[in-house]
Amino acid sequence: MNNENFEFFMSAFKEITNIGMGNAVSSLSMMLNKKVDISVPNLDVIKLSDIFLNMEEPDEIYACSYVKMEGDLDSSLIFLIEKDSVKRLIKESVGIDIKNIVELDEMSSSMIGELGNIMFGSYTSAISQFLNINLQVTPPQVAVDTFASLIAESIVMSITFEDEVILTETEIQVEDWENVIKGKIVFLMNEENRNKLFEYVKKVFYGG
Amino acid sequence: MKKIIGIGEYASSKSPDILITLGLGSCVGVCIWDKNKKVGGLIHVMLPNSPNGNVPKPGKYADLGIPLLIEDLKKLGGSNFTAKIFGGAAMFKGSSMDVGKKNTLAVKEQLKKNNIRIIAEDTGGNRARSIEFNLDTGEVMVKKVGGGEKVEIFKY
Repeated sequence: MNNENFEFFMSAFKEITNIGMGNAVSSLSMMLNKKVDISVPNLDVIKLSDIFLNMEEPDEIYACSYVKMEGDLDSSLIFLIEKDSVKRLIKESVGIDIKNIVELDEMSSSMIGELGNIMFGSYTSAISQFLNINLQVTPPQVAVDTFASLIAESIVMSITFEDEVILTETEIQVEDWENVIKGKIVFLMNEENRNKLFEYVKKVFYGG
Repeated sequence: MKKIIGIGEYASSKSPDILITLGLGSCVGVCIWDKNKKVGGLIHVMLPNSPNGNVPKPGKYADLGIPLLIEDLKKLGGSNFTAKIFGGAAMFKGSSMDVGKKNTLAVKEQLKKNNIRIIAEDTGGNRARSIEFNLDTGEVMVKKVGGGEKVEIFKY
């Protein structure tokens, strides 16, 4: 991909991410029965070797819901939520108090998985409709650990041969809640799928 | 000087440097040290075996990366090595492939092949690890999440 194409791709990708995120967030909003806002997604193509540089708080504990997107495009979608935020989200949406997030019982673990499942289900269906392609998500996988290790392991689970990944990050703000939900949505995609996506996007914008 | 090693990378250096890698989940961090010369290296292994053909990043694989790291250490004057290994966990619930276990086994096999004795190990389980390898003392600080929602530090 040359520079000009790359810039077009990134802005198109940003647009698509916006559409997908918009849908994901309205699912979350319905679950909580509150207005939910997200910041404009921040897109980055980063090298595997640079993944640990510029991480603000690598040791902070997060919960993570990981799904794979499959079909006409393969990628991984990861919803990372800081430990106190995840407790609040679960308390508000289903009324369950989680005491210790690192010793998760079956119920809380599936709740975390479900958060990702609901968001990414709508995210994926929005993208697949927009691009007119076939996409599904796999059942969510859950882990609770440090931020750095969740990102690293997600990458390892997704891509074993590529050296670059796309990361999208957003912040989530829930109406009436004092603190921002500290969460990150990460979108991992390798170069082969990036090129595929580029072709689909061109078709939508230029008709082929 | 502290140096951070990324996923699938390796580096070697001399005392008083400190080599660091983060987020060892199913990956295995291998610390190799020569206590007389105080040279050492760290590799963040992602997978047990390399595919056939041209591999752009050999550090990802136990079978290619470890011999390359040993070569570098010999260039720095090291000869009498010992190893400490960390990682190989299964972080995600319901993940079917046990890559962590396979990585640990492959790393041990490579070290054995090169006659390097493992003198400390913390592998397996379901917690990720971050490590700091001090090339002056040979000591490795391992950080992982404990039972009480915080990160605990262990010395090896």
